[in-house]
Amino acid sequence: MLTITSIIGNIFHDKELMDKFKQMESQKRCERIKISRLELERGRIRKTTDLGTDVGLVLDSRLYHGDVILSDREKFILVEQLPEKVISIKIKSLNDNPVGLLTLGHIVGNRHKPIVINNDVLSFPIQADSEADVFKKLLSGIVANLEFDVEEQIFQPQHGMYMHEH
Amino acid sequence: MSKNKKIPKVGIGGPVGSGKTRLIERVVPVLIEKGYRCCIISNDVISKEDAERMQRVLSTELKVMPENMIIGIATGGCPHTAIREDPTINLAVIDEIEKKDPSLDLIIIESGGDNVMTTFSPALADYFIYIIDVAGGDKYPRKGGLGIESSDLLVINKIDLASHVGADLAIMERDAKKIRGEKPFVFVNCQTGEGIERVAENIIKSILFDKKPIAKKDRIR
Repeated sequence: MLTITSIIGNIFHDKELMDKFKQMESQKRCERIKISRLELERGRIRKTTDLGTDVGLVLDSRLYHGDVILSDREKFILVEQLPEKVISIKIKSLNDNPVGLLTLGHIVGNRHKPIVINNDVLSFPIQADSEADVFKKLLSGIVANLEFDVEEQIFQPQHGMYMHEH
Repeated sequence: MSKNKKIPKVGIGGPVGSGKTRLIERVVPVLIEKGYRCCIISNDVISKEDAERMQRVLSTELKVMPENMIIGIATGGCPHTAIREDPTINLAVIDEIEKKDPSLDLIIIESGGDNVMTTFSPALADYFIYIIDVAGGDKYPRKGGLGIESSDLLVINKIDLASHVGADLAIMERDAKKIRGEKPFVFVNCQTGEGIERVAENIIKSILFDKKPIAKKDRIR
């Protein structure tokens, strides 16, 4: 088992690392650890890369999608977050309806899920497609003002809105 | 102290009566026999019943660990909250344990919780075991929820009762595989100890990273 105790950097924030990633990828020397959003937050985890390297991570901080945990001449190991089901609720017309907005906040807040608010769209992870129907029912009073969409995506919660950050 | 040196922690959750305490009473002696030193934290809402029972079984009867290594916490509130959104009570106890005995190999945290909402904050546990029992019906794995889906190891207990309660283990196996993909699950019987070795193996591989424990004879007491 290869033990990793620190993160080198993130390809999305470090141009040199991104270049190195592209170079190693083209030489087929890039290995990936695919992990879930919840696993990214852990300090201690054992995983096998897509090319079969057994890795044990013991970290001081959490992981992010795009983190590089090994980069040398021979090998490059990238952390990739797994996509998950995410529901997006688009608020079409509630600007003059504060009670409606509060109801939406209360019902979604009751699920204790991390969220992303992007302009007029509220997104959060769900476990099954059928959850969309449950929300439509719970929000029946304002459902005509909302638009629902469910798709698989890499969900990255907003800073300061994440339930695990205290 | 750097987190790198922190003691590995496993969270064990499951509905009331599913066998969380019994699982710990079974798996801890196996780990201790292999040379790993453990500490147990048991979360209850108002009593410290489970911690007291484990002290009786593991310290008084089996004499495998000292009583002060089994700690009861009465959370006083929602059990999900104490391990998920606001695990501060548990973190404070862990902090104390890590200061007192940093050479421990493992801390086990037990807490009750239903299949839908139970999960451990990653700040609290590095590995999450969710336990259910066949008496809850063979529909249980299929119903999903955070516990069933997000746990690192799903333990299905009381398999000896399956025929008496009309639960089909083949259905539970099929559904567990469907919902959990490649993540492991284990059938156990905590009364006889069947399957317990596999639970211990999963803990040793996934969170202790197969670390060789210090042999009993070489340990400083």
